[in-house]
Amino acid sequence: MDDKEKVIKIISIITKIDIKLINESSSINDHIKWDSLAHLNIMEQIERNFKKKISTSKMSDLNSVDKILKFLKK
Amino acid sequence: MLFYTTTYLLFFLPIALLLFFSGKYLKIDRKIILILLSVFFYSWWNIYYLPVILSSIVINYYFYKKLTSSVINRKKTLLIGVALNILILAIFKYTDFIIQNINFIWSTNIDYLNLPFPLAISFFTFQSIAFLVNVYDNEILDVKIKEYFLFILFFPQLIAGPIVKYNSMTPQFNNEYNWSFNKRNFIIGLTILFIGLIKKIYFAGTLSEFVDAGHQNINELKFLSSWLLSFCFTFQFYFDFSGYVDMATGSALMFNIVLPQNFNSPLKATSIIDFWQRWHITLTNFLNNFIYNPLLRSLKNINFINSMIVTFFVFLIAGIWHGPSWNFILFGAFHGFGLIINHIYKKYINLNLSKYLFWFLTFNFINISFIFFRTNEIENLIFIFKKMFKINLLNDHYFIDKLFKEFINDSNLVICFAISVVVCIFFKNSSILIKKINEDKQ
Repeated sequence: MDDKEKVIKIISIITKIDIKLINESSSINDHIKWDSLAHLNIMEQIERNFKKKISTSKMSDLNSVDKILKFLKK
Repeated sequence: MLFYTTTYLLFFLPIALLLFFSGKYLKIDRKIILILLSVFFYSWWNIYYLPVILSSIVINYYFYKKLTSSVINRKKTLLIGVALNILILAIFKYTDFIIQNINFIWSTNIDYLNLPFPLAISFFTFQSIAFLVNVYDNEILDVKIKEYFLFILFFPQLIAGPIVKYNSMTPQFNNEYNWSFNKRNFIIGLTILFIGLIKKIYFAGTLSEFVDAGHQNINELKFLSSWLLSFCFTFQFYFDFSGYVDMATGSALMFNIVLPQNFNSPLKATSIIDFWQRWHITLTNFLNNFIYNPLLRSLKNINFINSMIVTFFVFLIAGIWHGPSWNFILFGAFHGFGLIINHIYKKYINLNLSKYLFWFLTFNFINISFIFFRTNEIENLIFIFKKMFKINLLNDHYFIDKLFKEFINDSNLVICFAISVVVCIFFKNSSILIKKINEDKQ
């Protein structure tokens, strides 16, 4: 499973959005279930799964699959 | 100096632009020019406030140096830095409010300190805190002192925001391309400044006359006039604040600096959550990034109940940040409570109803919440709410009272109110111009 699939799976599990509806361009504005609380849980899971620290002030910026993937590549 | 004064529009701004764009010939660093202009702009109001903002800059720069020079006790350094910023704000802004409440609760008679209230202290405090947290998170590296001075002092956003981030401003100040006159940015900036001016002078100015008269003669309010008064204030408040921010945005753009969007047609919001994504956006982002997220993460469980408790707390802080008075705390609490109801509805009910119904409910919630904002006497607040919600159908005065007649008879006011409704609810906003510039830049 590559990073993109992993990220999408995490988002799908936490938000309970059908995995088929999430793609690289999906963002917090596209899905009502991806709210601020779900986003915080997504960030926590990304940190755990990828063993990469995300600063609290950065979390709001990582509001789409694309941005999360770019952050992980850094 | 205020943006809508002739001093600013006819003297300060043209001279500032002339000096900035002739920096190449004068051989003076553009950042130094902007710092000196900003110091002059700030001092124009009251030069005695200047030491406070300059001290705050020096203190925060010292903490930046400490945070970047050592890996030991960084968290402690950050906490002391943040606490010091809050302490400075609290001393100048809230001391008399605290004394007032102590006197009330314990029937004491402690004298007020009547400390000066340095202009823009609430804004530069939040910007400084955000800066220190970003430094701690290693998101800001290599800050020169003049860049930090300019980040805090840059005059277009100094007085009433938007709250800007260091990483979004400094690259713009350092970009030499921005040091040359750009006709397109100048024209668009001037247009946005002009839009802001109309919002502030015509709309907010006209509506404020009626609002002020209503609040001065509060005992004359009846059912219809109290509702009318609240609607007028809602539009006045929006035009006043967003107009000022437009003038800031337009001014900055003339210097080729793009400020972040702070309003996005907030009175079109269809939920309270939506409203805070459209109203004072940079404050919402600050609250989210620097209070909500860290607080919720500090709790053991990131769950719905904890999230709602933190939301309420954050909005209490947002309320008191607006001013040292109970009506602002009530404003924050009202919105915090509204957001909790909104989140519960979204999570557990979420009916597929008309968006117009949601807009109607949201608009009225916002309208009522702004009464807290305008009325700082609790007795007056209660009086207005009584008039708004107590209907006596048999009494004609509830419908056509003196204040209402004054409104109807003032054609200028009626036209202004009607245009306000149309503009706020049906028109696109000035931020679309900014978005277009950003798209063209990319």
